[in-house]
Amino acid sequence: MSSDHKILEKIDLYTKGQMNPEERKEFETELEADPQLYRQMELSMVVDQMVIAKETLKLREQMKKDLNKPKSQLGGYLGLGLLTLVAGGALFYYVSKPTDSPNIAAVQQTNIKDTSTVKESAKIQTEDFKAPVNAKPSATNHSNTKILTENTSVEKPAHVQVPEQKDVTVNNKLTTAPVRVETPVVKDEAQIAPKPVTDLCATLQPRVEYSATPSCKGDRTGELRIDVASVKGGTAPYHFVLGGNESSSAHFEYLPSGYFELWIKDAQDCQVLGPKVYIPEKNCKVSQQYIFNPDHDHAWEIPYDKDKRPTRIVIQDKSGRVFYESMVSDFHPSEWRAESSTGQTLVMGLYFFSIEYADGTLQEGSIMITK
Amino acid sequence: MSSKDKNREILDAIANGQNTKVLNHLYETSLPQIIKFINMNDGDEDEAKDIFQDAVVALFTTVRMGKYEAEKDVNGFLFFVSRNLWINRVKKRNKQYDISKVRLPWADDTQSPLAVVITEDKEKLIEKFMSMMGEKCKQLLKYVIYDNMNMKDIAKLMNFASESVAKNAHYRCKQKMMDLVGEDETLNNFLYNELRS
Repeated sequence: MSSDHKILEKIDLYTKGQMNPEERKEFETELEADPQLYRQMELSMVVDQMVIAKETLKLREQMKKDLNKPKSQLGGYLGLGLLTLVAGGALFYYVSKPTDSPNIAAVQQTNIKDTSTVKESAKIQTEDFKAPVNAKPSATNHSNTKILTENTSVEKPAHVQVPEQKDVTVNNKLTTAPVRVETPVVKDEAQIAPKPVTDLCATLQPRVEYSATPSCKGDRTGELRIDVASVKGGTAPYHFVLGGNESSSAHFEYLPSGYFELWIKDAQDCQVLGPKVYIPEKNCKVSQQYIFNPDHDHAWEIPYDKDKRPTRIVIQDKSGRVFYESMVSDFHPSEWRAESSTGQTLVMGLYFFSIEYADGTLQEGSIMITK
Repeated sequence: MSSKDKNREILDAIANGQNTKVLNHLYETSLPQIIKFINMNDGDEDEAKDIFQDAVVALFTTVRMGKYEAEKDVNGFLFFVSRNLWINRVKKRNKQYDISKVRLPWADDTQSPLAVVITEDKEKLIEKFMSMMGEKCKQLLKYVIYDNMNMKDIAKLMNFASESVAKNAHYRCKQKMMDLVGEDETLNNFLYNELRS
């Protein structure tokens, strides 16, 4: 092997962490002392990364094919899995029902092993479709619930079936064959077999009723009141999250107009995305009227909203002609002496002011200058 | 299986080239969340799938490069990368877009992972460089660097006379590519800044 190749081999061992501590320390000393060697190492790493990236980019082709498959295929696989889960739940329910018939009881008893096998496979199915730990259950619950509804008519019956009574009298023996139940025909969500105990969050419904109070244009006066009684499923009490703010009272204030996402949370910390909430906009003219006599009053104190950050003030007459305009910084200027921007004292009359704030809102009013 | 074990299983599957297994898992666990997020933020399902694909490529690249922090949840990684990719896409489309309007359920920025994202520009550069290499070199580099195959198997597969012949061929190809990258200042600087972490 040439000396160049030996260097590359050493670089490879180093970048892959395959050197022992002594070798590593020695190589790092060489790297520090030799800029050319250091550059070679960097170039080697860049090439490694390019080769890897080239291959991982090929995944796109595979994903494009997978994700553009007709939905029914993917949905069919998911539906089949979920049907098996439902069937497992139905079997559990059916088998644990008390019964008088000794023969059926005997069959049930002898088939406990098979039942538990079915339950186990149903459990595994659940895990396959379970939401990852970091994701809140609601997202998956929402989609799971939807899939359950959409795919109820799919397909292959589940594999679990309880034998009829006549079969029991004829074949009163132990069997190791899988037990089968007939899948109930599910018409809507209400008829779905009881959900596994571990999946409490699945009952929390993403629907809720509310009333919205419009917000003044450019302001945050909108309100949202949620009808808590309309929340279905889950465990009360409920909390709601709107635009990042949480409330247990189901009442949100100081909202601007627009669309918001509303999350419904219950006492078990389950969450589900509710309907998109819309706060309408309305035109509100805030009319503040002031009277100012420059001969008597020192100045007109500008009525800033102290809870906001004003950025500009404009004073104009009723024709829209601007007499005074100023940027505002830290609530300065704090007062106005009825002078125009050029220093002229304004004549008596009605003027209009508007104050702009950093949050985009506008405060408007009028000043009557008297003498 | 605990989620931690499942996470580990997925990362091992990526490292071992079990792409289909990994992808099927991600379609079920990650894709719905990402579609929902993109839909909530003015995107449609096709755009969400695009973003998802880019995020998955970033995941695989990061894992393969040995830069993935094993304790990070894979779905969380994909979500954060998707979120950032979407924000960048929307910003490119509309420079006036106010990012504070992006709706981020449970976004915990302290968990934001390190990711190697292959943008369209990078992809073009990679393609350009790789096209300067011969097919045999490209294949050899892939077997060594991406597939981590040993030289004995590579020698058999590619009909080299021996392991050492295969090894020498590998280093010749690698040196050639290093020289191409090193000589092209524009590409060199871009890749140094973009591909290295």
